[in-house]
Amino acid sequence: MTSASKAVELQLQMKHNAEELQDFVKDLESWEKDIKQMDLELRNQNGVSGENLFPVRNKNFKKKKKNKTKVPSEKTTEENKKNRIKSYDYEAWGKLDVDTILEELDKEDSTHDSVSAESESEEDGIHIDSQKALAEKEKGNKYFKQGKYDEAIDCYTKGMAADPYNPVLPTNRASKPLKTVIIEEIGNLVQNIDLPATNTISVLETNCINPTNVTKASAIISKKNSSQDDVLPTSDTPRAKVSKIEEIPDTPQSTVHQSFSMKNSTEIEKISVPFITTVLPPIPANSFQLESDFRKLKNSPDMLYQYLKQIEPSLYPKLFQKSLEPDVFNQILKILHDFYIDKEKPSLILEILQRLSELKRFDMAVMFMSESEKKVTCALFNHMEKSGLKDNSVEELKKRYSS
Amino acid sequence: MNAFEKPQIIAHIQKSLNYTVFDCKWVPCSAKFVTLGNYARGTGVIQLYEIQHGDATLLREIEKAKPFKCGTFGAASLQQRYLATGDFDGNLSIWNLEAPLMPVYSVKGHKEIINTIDGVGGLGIGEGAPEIVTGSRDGTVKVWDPRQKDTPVANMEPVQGESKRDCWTVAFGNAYNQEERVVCAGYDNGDVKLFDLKKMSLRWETNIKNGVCSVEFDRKDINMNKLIATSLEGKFHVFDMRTQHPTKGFASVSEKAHKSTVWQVRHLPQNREIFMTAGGAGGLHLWKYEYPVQRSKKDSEGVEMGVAGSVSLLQNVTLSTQPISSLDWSPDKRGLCVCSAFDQTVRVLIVTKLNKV
Repeated sequence: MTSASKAVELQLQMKHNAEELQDFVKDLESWEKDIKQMDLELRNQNGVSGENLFPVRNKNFKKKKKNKTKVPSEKTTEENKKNRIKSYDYEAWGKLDVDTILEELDKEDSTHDSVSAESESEEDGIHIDSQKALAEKEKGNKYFKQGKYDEAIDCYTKGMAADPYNPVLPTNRASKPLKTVIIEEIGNLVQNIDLPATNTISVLETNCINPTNVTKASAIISKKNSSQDDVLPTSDTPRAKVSKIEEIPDTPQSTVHQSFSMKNSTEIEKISVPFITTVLPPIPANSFQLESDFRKLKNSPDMLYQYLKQIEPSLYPKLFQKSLEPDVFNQILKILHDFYIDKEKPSLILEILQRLSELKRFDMAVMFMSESEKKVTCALFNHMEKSGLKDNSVEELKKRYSS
Repeated sequence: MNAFEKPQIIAHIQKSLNYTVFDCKWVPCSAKFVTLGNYARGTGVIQLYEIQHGDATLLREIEKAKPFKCGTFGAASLQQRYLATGDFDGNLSIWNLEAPLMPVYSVKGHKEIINTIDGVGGLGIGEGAPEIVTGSRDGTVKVWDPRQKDTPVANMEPVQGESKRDCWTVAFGNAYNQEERVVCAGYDNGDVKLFDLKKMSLRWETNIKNGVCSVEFDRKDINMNKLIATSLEGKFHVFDMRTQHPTKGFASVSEKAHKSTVWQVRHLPQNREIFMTAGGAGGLHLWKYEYPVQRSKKDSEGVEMGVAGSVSLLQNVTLSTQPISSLDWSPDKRGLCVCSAFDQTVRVLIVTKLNKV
C-alpha cells in the first residue's frame, strides 16, 4: 500500500470516527429525554413492591450467635461435614442403625431437659430465673427494713431482670420512691421556710412509714407552716420577709437581685404596706413559673406589685424567651398602671415598657389587647409624657404599643 | 484490528470539584450521577449531578460530618433509589437523596473506615433479600439487611489470634436464586476470599501476591461466571468461576495492565465480556475477555477443572496525571461512563463502537 492511499484511508477513518461520535452524542440527547421521563415516572411511584418478600438472613440464629464468639464457624462446619454421611454414600446409609440413634437422642433430651427449656425461653429474648428473683427480693426487703433504699432498689431491679413476670418486685420497688420522694420534697419545702430541716424530716419519717400517710405528712407540713408564721413577730415589717427570700440559694442573679431588693425593702418600709400572710414567691426562673405565681397572687394586687418589682427589667428576655403570653403581658401592664404610676419613677415604667417591647412575641401580644387594655397603655404613656419624659424613643414605643 | 476501528474513549464532560472525590455512581434509571468525597475541612460531601445537553449540572449537595469513602445503589428499589454509603468513621448510612437531612438507615458498622461497599437484591438485579456488604480497615466484612437494625446479618472476620488485614474491596455474586449468594473480599495482603452466604462458610481463598484493589463479578444475578481481581502492582486476574476444582480452585488468567496500581475494574453492564480497568497513572484500559473453546476439562484423576480464556486490550487512554479512583458504567446507556480522579475532577466518558466489538 502506498503512503498516499494510507493517508486517504486515515482521513476516511477519522471522518468516520467523528461521525460516529456525533451520532453518539445525538443519540445521547434523545436518551437523556427518555430517561428523564422514566426517572420522573419512577419517582412518582411511591409503592415499594416486594419489600418483604424475602426473609432477613439468619434472623433465627441472631440471638444464639451473639452468645458465641463471632468467629466464622468454618472449622465447626467442616467437623460436622466429617461426621455426616454423604447423601450419595449408600453403603454407609445402609449400615446406619436408626433405632439406636433415636434412643440416644431421647436420652440426650431427658438429661438436658432443664438446659433446653432455658434455651427456649432465651430464644424469646426473656430469661426466667425465679430462684434468683426470690433471693434478690429477700435481700431487697432486708435493705428496705434497714432504710437502705438505694440498695433495696438495686436488688429489686436485679430481681426484675431475673424474673420479669413476678408482680411483687415492681410493687416493692415502687413503694420506696414514693416514700423517699415525699420526704425529700417535704425536706425541700422545710428548707424554703427556714425551719430546722433535720428535725422535721425525722418527725415525718416516723409518721409516714407507708405511703398512705401522705396526707398526714402534708398536714404536718401545713402545721409547720403556720407555726412559722406564729414565730414571726407580728410587728415585723415586710423587710424581714424580703431579706429571707434573698437567702434562697438557687437564684442565679443573686448579686443584681440583692442590691435591687435592698432598695425595694427600704422603699417598702416607707410606704407601709398592709401585711399579707402569703409568702412572696422568689424571682421566677422561667415564664411558666411567673405565670403560676401570677395566678397565685391574683387576689392580692399588692403582692403582685412587689413580685413584679423584684424582677429586674433586664432579665425579661431571659425570663420570657419566646413565650410572652398575652395574658401575662396584660397583667404586667395592669400592675404598671395600678401601682407604678403612683409609686415609681416614670423612668422605671419606661424601662419596663421598653424591655417588654424587645421581647420576641411582643407584636402578637399587642394584637391581642382588648379596648380596656389599650386604655391602660394609653394612660401609662400619658403619665410618662406628663412627667416630662418626651422624646423620639417614647414616641416610637408608643406607636409600637398602639399598633 | 485497525487502530481506527477500535472503540474510542472520549471525555465528554469534565467537571472540576473543590473536594477530594473517592467514588462516583450513576443513579439507576436516570441521567444523574453522584460523587462522594471529603472537603479539605474534614467534612463529607455527596453531590448529585445531572447530564443536560453536554454539561453536568449540580442538582444537590449534601454535606455531613464524616468524609464518605464509598457508595452503592445496589440494595435499593428502583422507585426509591436510596444511596448506601460508607464513611471514614465506620458508619453505614442509607440516604434518600430527595430528603437527605437524616439518613433512612444508619449504623456504626465498623471500628474504622469503610473502604468498600456493594449491594444486591435491589434495582431488579439479583434474587433474594436486599443486602449490603461493607469491608473495612478493621479487618471485617459485614453483610447488612436494611430491614434489620443495628446488627449485621453476617459477619466475616479473622479467627481470633490471626492478624487482621485491611479489607479493600468487596463484591456480591451468585445471587441467581433466593438462597444462593456469595461475597468476594480482597485484602491488602493479596488474599481473595469467597464467602458463601447460604452455607455461612468460606468457600474458596487464594492469594494474588499483591494487595487486592478491586474485585467484581461479571454479573451478580447469575450462577457465578467470571471474577476479576485487580492488584496493587498493575496486574489483574480473571477467574473462571464456573468450575471449582477441589484442590486447584478456579482457573485464572492474569495480565499486566498498567505500570501502576489498578484501582478499579468494571464490567460493561450491556456486554460482560468487556471491562474497563482504571489505573494509578490516570489511564483507562478497555479489555475484552475471550472464552476458551472448552470451559472445563478433566484432570489426571478425572475431576473437572476450569480452563481460563484470554484477554485482549481494545483501547487505552490517559485522562489524568493522578490515579483514577473510581469508575462506573451507566446501567441504562451503553458506552456512557463516569469516572473520578484524584486531580479533583469527575469526567463523563463516551466509549463508541461497543456494539461492534
